[in-house]
Amino acid sequence: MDYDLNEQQAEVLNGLEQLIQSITIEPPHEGVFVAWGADLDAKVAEAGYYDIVAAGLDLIDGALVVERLSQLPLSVEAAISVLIAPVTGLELPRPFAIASGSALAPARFLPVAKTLLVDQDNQLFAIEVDQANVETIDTLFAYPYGKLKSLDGVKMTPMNVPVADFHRRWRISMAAEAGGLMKSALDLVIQHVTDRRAFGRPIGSFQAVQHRLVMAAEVTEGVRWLGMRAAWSDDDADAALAATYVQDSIPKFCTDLHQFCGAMGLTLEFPLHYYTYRLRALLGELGGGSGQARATTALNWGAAA
Amino acid sequence: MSAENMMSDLEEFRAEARAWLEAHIPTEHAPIDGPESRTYALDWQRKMGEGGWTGLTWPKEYGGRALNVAKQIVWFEEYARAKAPSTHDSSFVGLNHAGPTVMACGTEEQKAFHLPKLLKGEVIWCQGFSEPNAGSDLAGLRTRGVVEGDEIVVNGTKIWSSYADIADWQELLIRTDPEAQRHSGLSWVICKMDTPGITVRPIKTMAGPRKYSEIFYDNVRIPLSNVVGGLHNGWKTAMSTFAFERGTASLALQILLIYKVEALLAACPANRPVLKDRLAGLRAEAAAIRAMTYRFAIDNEHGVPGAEGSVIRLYFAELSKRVTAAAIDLFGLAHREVLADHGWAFDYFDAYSETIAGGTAEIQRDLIGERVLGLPRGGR
Amino acid sequence: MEFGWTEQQQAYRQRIRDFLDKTLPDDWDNIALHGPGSPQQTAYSKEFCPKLHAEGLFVPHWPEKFGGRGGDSWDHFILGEELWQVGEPRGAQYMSVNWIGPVLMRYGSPEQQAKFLPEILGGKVTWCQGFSEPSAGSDLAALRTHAEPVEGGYSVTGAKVWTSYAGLGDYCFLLARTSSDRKGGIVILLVDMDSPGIQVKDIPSVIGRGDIHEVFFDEVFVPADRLLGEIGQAWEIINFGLANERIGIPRYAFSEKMLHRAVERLKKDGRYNDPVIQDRLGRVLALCQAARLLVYKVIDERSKAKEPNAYGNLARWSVVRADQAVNDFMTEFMPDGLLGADPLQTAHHQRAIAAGIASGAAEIQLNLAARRHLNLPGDR
Ligand SMILES: Cc1cc2nc3c(=O)[nH]c(=O)nc-3n(C[C@H](O)[C@H](O)[C@H](O)COP(=O)(O)OP(=O)(O)OC[C@H]3O[C@@H](n4cnc5c(N)ncnc54)[C@H](O)[C@@H]3O)c2cc1C
Ligand SMILES: Cc1cc2nc3c(=O)[nH]c(=O)nc-3n(C[C@H](O)[C@H](O)[C@H](O)COP(=O)(O)OP(=O)(O)OC[C@H]3O[C@@H](n4cnc5c(N)ncnc54)[C@H](O)[C@@H]3O)c2cc1C
Repeated sequence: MDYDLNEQQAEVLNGLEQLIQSITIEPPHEGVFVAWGADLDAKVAEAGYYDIVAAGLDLIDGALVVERLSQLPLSVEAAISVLIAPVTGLELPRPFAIASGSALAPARFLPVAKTLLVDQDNQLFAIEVDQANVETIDTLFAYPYGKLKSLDGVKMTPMNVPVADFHRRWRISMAAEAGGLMKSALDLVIQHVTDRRAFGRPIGSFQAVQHRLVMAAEVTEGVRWLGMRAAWSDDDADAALAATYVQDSIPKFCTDLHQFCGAMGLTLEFPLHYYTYRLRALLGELGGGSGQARATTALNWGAAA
Repeated sequence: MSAENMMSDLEEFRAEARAWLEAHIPTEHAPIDGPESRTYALDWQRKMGEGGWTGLTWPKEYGGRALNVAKQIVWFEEYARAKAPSTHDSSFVGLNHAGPTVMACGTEEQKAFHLPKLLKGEVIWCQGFSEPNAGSDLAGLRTRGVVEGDEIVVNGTKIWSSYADIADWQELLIRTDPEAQRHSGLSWVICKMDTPGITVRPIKTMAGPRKYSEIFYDNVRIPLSNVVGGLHNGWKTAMSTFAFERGTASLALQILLIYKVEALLAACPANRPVLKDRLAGLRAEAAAIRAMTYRFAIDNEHGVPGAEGSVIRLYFAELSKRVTAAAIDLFGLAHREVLADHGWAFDYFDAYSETIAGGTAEIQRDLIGERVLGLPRGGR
Repeated sequence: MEFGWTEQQQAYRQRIRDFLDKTLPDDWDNIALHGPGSPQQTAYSKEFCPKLHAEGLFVPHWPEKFGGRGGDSWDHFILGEELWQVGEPRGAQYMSVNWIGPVLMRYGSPEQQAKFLPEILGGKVTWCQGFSEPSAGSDLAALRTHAEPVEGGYSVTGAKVWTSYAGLGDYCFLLARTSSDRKGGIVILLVDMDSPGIQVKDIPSVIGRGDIHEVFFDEVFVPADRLLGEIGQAWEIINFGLANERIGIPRYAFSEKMLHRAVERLKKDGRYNDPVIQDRLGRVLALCQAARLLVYKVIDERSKAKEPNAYGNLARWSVVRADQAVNDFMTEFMPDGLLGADPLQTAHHQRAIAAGIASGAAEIQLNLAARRHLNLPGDR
């Protein structure tokens, strides 16, 4: 048990940090919902960070990379490339999109993806994405979302890997990503309530605000450690547990953080929604909180008969 | 009237309301913002006015029907059942808190001029209370009004004013006595939105529409006779506005909620027992809100509503969030019930503002603690 | 960063489990039902602790020179988890092991160490903690119990309340004041509970029999050599002690254990397949595990000899939340456990309902974490 970074982990993160610092990250234009960082994504890809797990580094190193990247206001397709796609054992073209249940379901990143991974009838498939067949979904969620227009002529290549592996990594990536998003959202709001004053004092000094921010910090920490543990063990039960906690925590977390920014927090001029609307999107993944919670129960105590 | 007669009277009224709504409900959805949304809201208001369905509880001299609140409730029940256009549109401010404030605190001339116009669907009102540095702490507002002869000259900035871009009139709260402390020295004035010197900048909300605006006042001249409730006495008038805004304004919405939950329950498939469990809980809560709403509406039929309204308002706001979240869980992201204009996603984002607009949940809780529970006042 | 146990740690945990299997009597659950302060459990602890010590498992984390094994904070916590989750066969002794001993090691005089530490190791003396008073709970520094300097020591007069284990206590770790200086005027006295002038009254409560007490001091003489640390140093010592106390009891372990026991019963009763129950089980287990990992972060820092910080308050809060969630689950879905079906469930329930109050109220943890962990502003 050791909560500090080991040498390898520190090295990976330092390198990534230098890369991030060397890139000017243009704040998203005012008034957009989806802040897809095409440029940033390409640069991180070029530096090789998306391949680190495939290249043999530890899964937790990959989780740390995903967590760090998701702290940025622009979204990049890191989680799937780093943590999920390696289960296929193949080198498929990225960026990836993922879906569960049906290849026609709405999928994060599909409008920018080259490969769609989807489980259907207990079999994982890879689909080479033809963008002409992608319908972009106009959404409030801060990811590019799309769905396939049809499956006519679409080749679905079965992957030789259990769907459980796909779901495990999906859950781990959910936690790694949520951990980074929560951290940035929390930092932003703490800054806001420290600067903004009402009734002659900073609004962050009111206990009604303080207590709920501590609760937000609590779940941020919980998400982080459960997620990192799952990435460390790469265990089904740990992964389901982390994802349960993530989805269980998101509603109150997002509600409270917006609440403390007042009317300003509801505008597109204020960057909070870039984080909270990625979190909100994660809330519905893989059947939502109830799906993960029941998976957790089944993995710990046996499937329902 | 005997209880029996009262019931049959109500049922008759209900049948009338139902029949009228079925015959007249607009077939098109309301546009989400801009001038089209204004035209739509006013057309609908006019149509209801012609049918005799506006100002049900307002006095007859201002174009109302002076009915009792039970009938108002029945109307809103039928209104919800018929899926009529949301009352939370651009006519909301005028009908539900600006109008009632004028009625409670205004002069005869002000009432006679403004109230009938509201009922006839001729005007849209907006609210100019909040400022960039005065939201929860409203008494910290700085927009200045200097009395010059029979006019007040206004300079300053307001923000988050809903529908300001399409409004004719505004309930505007300004500082008219710079010497006085915080709450004293404010005035509540009726501001005509096309007065020279007013600039409106719409702000896009997370929910999508350009619903609220920032407003700049540059030497805007307002007749002194537009002050409501007395010069420098604006805090008291504004408290009436809040009493209406937090007490009775959302009557229709509070009644509507249970119908929405029931629709979700009906749509929930049998193979989603966990969700069904959750929805059933929400159904029970919506019923509780409905009961509280009726009790409150009946107890506060006359005069300015009491502080208990905040309890219901706050509960409603928080429950709305949970209901909309459940709806999205039920339908998933890409469902047309979710993504359509006025779909659940829209409601979901809108529900966020419910715990902020009209006084945040935290401020409401403070007030409930002090005024309803009688707890000692903390530092605020 | 890694989250595994070393082989040594695994073997150590197994050794504790084997020892418990071998040692605990068959009717142990029915003893544990009464709570750590009960006469039943206290009596059993006096039998149990010497056996535990003989195995080298009583204070494995204490330095060798004080009779320990020089183990680390992980040894301490693994032990705590295993014992707390079976219902704490050490009775009140966990307190001496967790924080009274360590405080004495750090701040006690050599004479005090020589007297008290070996007695703790014998497992037969019980300490109680005389901090809280009728008018000083959360606001501990408001305590009023007076220590008047007299010839050869102090004369103590005042009242303590909520004092756990006082009824069977041998010593009291007592806070009193010699001057009105809020924090600087406090002294710590190590008091013999059989000193003349001490009167103990049991307080009947819902958290277990013999657990909490009132203790009255009427001109109780305490010799000067029972002063712990130097005059003016008490607040520092208290904070050191509290940090160890706050993250001392591994409550999450007992809570998880309850869930395991619940599942066994649910399976037997054919209710395990209920999807609502499955949903709730997964969620509360996740809360327990999160609390566990937050606590482990504190233990990790402790094992690296870092100074205690406000992360402990945050972790403590998460532990309280998990405990309460499990308790709510158990009470809603397994009420028969509180009606005899599982004696240990009553014990868990009684711990859980006090989790947010004992060793510092939950709100105080939130206050401290807000200021010191998140660096949120003060009210100016
Ligand atoms: C959709 C929408 C429509 C609106 N329409 C209008 C309108 O038409 N006209 C108008 O004038 N205004 C309008 N408002 C503005 C609304 O009245 C303000 O947003 C509200 O009063 C809060 O002020 P603020 O946004 O400045 O938040 P702040 O005052 O900055 O508050 C930020 C956070 O601090 C908390 N806080 C502040 N003080 C305390 C305290 N003492 N104790 C505990 N917590 C505290 C708040 O609860 C909140 O969570 C609208 C707002 C919204 C969201
Ligand atoms: C099972 C049990 C065993 C105990 N054993 C001992 C013992 O052995 N020795 C001992 O000395 N004491 C013991 N205590 C006492 C315990 O330390 C106190 O109960 C605790 O510190 C709270 O003090 P109080 O009960 O006076 O509550 P109060 O201080 O009166 O608090 C009441 C409520 O007000 C809240 N509150 C107070 N101040 C604030 C604030 N600034 N901000 C927000 N909320 C606030 C609290 O959080 C709490 O919810 C025990 C308590 C229990 C329940």
